[in-house]
Amino acid sequence: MEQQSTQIARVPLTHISNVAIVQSGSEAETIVYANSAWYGEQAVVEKDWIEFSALVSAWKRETRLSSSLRNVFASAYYKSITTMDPDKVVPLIIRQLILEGSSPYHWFSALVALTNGNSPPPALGGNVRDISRWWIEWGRARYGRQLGPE
Amino acid sequence: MAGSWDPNDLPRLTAGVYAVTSCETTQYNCIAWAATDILNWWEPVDGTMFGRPIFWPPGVPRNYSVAAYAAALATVGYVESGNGLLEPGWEKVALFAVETSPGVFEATHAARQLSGGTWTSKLGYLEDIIHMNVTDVCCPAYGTVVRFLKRVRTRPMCD
Repeated sequence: MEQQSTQIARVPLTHISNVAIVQSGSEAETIVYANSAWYGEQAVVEKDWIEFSALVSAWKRETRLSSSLRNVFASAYYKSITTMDPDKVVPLIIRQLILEGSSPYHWFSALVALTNGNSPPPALGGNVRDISRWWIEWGRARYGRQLGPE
Repeated sequence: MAGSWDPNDLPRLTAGVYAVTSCETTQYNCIAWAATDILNWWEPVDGTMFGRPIFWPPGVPRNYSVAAYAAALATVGYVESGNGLLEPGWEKVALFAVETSPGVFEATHAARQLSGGTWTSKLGYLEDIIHMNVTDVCCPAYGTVVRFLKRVRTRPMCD
């Protein structure tokens, strides 16, 4: 497959079709090439993002109806996500928050734990959208281009 | 407007039996909604929910039993009701549970009856909905209705 530009795309799994997995030179990680309706053409999608997105989809499918945080956080999928290397998974979670927009999922506890206690100011209270915005801004300042195009 | 859940998760919620009445929110859950509290997530666990302490009524056993959930709702006026039939002047709640081991039931969901006889449910993280029958939200995640509670209806009829 002809290598396309190395645009890193934060593409939801639902927008990916015709995935082909190829080795990229001597790199240890596999680069996934996919046709993306999101971008209208082939885009490079990170393998880590693919794996993370699959875990997120499974976690949400298992827990979205639950009124029990105990069950939400006891999910094996959630544990798989939160035991990943923090340097790898925190930017992925921030990307996910960007995608979730005004309806963020139960990410905030994980972010606090994975960032060694970093947390939004108490003044934000329980405002979900404000907290999500805070984490996204924090993530952009820290990870910048790693989060993909705005 | 279609809800955001997977139809396979709530197979009885077919077109025509429900209406979505809110957007998705983690601000409150089904038991809170049954108690008409949209500011808190009610659950018998310690911790915070987006900076706000998870709420459980003081003095109520901190477990997931149906009895504990009934006791929690008793703090906002609910008492035992023998059925879920519409009774003018009474607001009813249906408690759902799943059998986690033989003879042991864990509370999973609560639905509140509206003045016209339909029911309203907060679907976990997802939307509030109105549904025609209390059993419309029976599903593997929620189990079945195991108890009905009631309290004097004090809010306007047009709820």
